[in-house]
Amino acid sequence: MLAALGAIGGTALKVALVFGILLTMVAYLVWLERKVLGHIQSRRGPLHVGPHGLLQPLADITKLFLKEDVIPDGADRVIFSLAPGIAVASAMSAIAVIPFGQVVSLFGHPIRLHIADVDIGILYILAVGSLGVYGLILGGWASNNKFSLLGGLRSSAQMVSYELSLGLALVGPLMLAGTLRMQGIVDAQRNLWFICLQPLGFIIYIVSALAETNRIPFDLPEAESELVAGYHVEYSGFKFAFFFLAEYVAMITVACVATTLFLGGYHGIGVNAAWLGPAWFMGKVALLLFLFIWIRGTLPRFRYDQLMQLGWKVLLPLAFLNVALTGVIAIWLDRSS
Amino acid sequence: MELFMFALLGLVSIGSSLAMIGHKNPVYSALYMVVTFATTAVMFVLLKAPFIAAVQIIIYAGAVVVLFLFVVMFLNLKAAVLLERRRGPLLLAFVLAGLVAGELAAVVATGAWPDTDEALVPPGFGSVASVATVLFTRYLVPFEIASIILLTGMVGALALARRESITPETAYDLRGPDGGREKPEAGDGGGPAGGPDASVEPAEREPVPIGVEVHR
Repeated sequence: MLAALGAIGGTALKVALVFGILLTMVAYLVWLERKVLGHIQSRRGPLHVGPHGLLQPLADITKLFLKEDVIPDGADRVIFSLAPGIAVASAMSAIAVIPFGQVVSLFGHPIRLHIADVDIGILYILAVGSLGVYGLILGGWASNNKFSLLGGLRSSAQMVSYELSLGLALVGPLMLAGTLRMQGIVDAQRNLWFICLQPLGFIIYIVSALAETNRIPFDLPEAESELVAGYHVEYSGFKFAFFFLAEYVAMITVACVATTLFLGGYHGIGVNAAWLGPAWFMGKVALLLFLFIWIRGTLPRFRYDQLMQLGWKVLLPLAFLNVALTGVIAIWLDRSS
Repeated sequence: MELFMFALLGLVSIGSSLAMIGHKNPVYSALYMVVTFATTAVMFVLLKAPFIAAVQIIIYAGAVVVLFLFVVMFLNLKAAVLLERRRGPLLLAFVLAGLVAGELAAVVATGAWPDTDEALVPPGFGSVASVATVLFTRYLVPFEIASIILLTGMVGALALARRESITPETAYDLRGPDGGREKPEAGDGGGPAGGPDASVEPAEREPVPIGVEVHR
């Protein structure tokens, strides 16, 4: 009984810690994005709050908290309030199965740097990820505004389309590792990261992930020039902050998944002490996040038909090809060895 | 602990199923359906079948209900239309429900119910490996046939949805047979309550291609 309570308490502590780190990362990811975009566009970005604008996230959060929370007339109040929560919850839940490091010992107790090591890690990520679309589509519908409805429908069509290529891109690494367990997939990359064996899968994953998180060049759901701001046009204050949070948490989540499946997770190059695992992991995640911001600063937005063409006629066949090739080569290597 | 979890999940599941049938608003019904699917998935986890749980969420909650929501939002059915009740189907439903109840009672009464504490399936049943092994060895042919049937259905749906002839003039004309002349009543679309902003004509909506694309 005591041991069970201890296990529950330990997991709760881990969850609280990961939650805190995640929220801090989101705050500074927004700062980083503004700073990097500024420099890409020959501006200096936020400067005035704190040194180099480092306290800007705090100012932003305070502003969002203090703003009036408006629910428009004719909106469906229950679903209007529920939608941002669904968006954040589905984005955050995926982090639970990501391994951040090996087993480390703290004051003599072994601690796994992993909240839940479930058998079906990848499927779990796909499952909670597929629920994220509800936040957007319900938010768009409940606002009782034609632009939000269009934004919500667009985003769900986009997410449903790109989920296929995203899922298929993950099949490559899991075939090579021979397990759906995230810990097993990371262990299988001890000597060689899967990005070396699965370059096509990695590219398909990154492109689909950008579409799944509604980032430029795939940010059609909130295309401000045609749809005002898409599904969250009626949202303000705290509820808007939740949608904002969900988008950035989703970015971090897809970066974590890419790191775990393609970039060797917590395995480093050369130095590989158990305590360094989380540092390696964070470093790789940060690199991917920088890549996302860089892409945002570089590419224009796609047109809707181009988006669908790319998803169904390019990425999906390529993903199938990748799965078939990986299977053939894996069996061939198996036979010859 | 397991019994407590099962009771809680069962109550939530039954409650949300009833709410799904009873709710006037189809969007809420769809959401209650998601809750039912989610609780069922957790029950599969309790039964040590995590693979089936994940598939339950991915397919039903992640894809099927999203499609339902799409249809509901595009059609914008009004609560009044949906509440129109017809006698015939209701009577049939009662008869069928009575039959099922009688059948269940007969099974319990005659003792055909498996009365054992032992697991009826081998340990590890429902894991990814066991499902895959059975699917790709013993049931390979039915599995492939099922996939071909699904593919045929998909191609058939595309063929039916496609217009007979698509010319540049009609490519984006998705207004239906009357050419979209019929003016929808005010408060017919847009959102939940049919408020001031709710008079979006279906004709004005940009067609969202879902899989099928119409080329200009």
